[in-house]
Amino acid sequence: MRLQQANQGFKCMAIDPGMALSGEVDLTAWASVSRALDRAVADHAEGQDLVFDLGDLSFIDAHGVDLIAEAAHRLGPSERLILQDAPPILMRIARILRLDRDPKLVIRGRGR
Amino acid sequence: LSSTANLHHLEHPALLYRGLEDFLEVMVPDVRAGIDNDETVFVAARGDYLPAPRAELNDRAEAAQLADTFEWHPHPASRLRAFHEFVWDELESGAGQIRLAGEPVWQPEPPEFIREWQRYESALNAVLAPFPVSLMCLYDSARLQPSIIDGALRTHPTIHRSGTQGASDDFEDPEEFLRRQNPSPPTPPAHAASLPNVADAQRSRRFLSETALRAGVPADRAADLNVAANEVLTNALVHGGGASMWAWTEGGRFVCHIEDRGRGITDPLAGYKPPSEHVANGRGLWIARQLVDLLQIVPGTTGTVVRLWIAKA
Repeated sequence: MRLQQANQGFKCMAIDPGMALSGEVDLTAWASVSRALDRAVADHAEGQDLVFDLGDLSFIDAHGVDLIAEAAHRLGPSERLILQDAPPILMRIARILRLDRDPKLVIRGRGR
Repeated sequence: LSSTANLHHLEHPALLYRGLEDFLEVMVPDVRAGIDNDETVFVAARGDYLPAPRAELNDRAEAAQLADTFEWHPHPASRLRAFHEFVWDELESGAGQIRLAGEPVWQPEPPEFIREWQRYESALNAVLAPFPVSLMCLYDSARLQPSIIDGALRTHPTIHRSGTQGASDDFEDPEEFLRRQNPSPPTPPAHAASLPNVADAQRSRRFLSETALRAGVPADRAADLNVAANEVLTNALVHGGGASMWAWTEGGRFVCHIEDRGRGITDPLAGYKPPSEHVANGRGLWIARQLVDLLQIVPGTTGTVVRLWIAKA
């Protein structure tokens, strides 16, 4: 059981210029999220910001947020990771971890 | 920096005062001394007491920040984070010495919440230890029950009262205090909704979210609780043993109770120590503590019991 179990809710899709993450990021999705982030960081155009669309992301855990923050720090010196339409809970976690002050990350909420 | 480092360490006295006059007799000169020394000064005290020190400090009141303790992070975990962030930010912007005062927010019940403020007081000794900070905690001994004053003596290395100050003979090492002041919670009530032998985190989130919403927990708070509980459950699933979950309403609060059969969380400071930027480990419990009103972690012989509490309104 446990870590081997298939993830039921998480999907990612390449978009231009980045990736859309949707569904639920929990322990069953860590491995796929990690691979998707590696790919997105490797594939993105040099000197440009990387954009993740989180509009359909319904859940994310602390480790999922960590993986995303780590990916941002693998970008080049002038590049940033932009999180678009982040769910409220990601905004809360980012505030608690002070990622909202991380110069490599730009987190934009869903607004009203 | 190294030559001055040992001059700067946490001072964490408790002030046992009796009413407004006594409070002013200590606080006003203390704040004034802080301003004179060019220190950053911040006080979180009873809101109805604040106009008096403001008036007595006169035109110098603006050099100190005064906040109402019932409004400024009135939960222990969030207050701990707020003090830590305040200190961090002030040091980053060049502060030398920081002078803080804070009054815990004592509620008449339940006992778990009173105990958590005492545990917070103890944890502060460890969390703020490396910083050039003096944090005076305010206790109205005319108003508070003796067990709370007793707690102040156990969680503060020095005690100030009626013009005298001295070391506390009852002070306890924070890790010891946190271990001791952590009784096993009772078993969940018979009417609690339950989810035995959780192997699927997603299913536990559905269960908890539906139970919380049905019980009248506002949607945003239910989402906070769900993330916090998921961190606890993830720990249990990753470290083996599996877990069972219960949830119910108790005195206007919603309670989620998780029991795992793993080796447990043995660090008494788990979730109290702010995660450093480069260490991912331990962030889950730090976040969980911040998202709920109270997180109890009680290690036992066959596993760990974790309780998460959240107000329904």
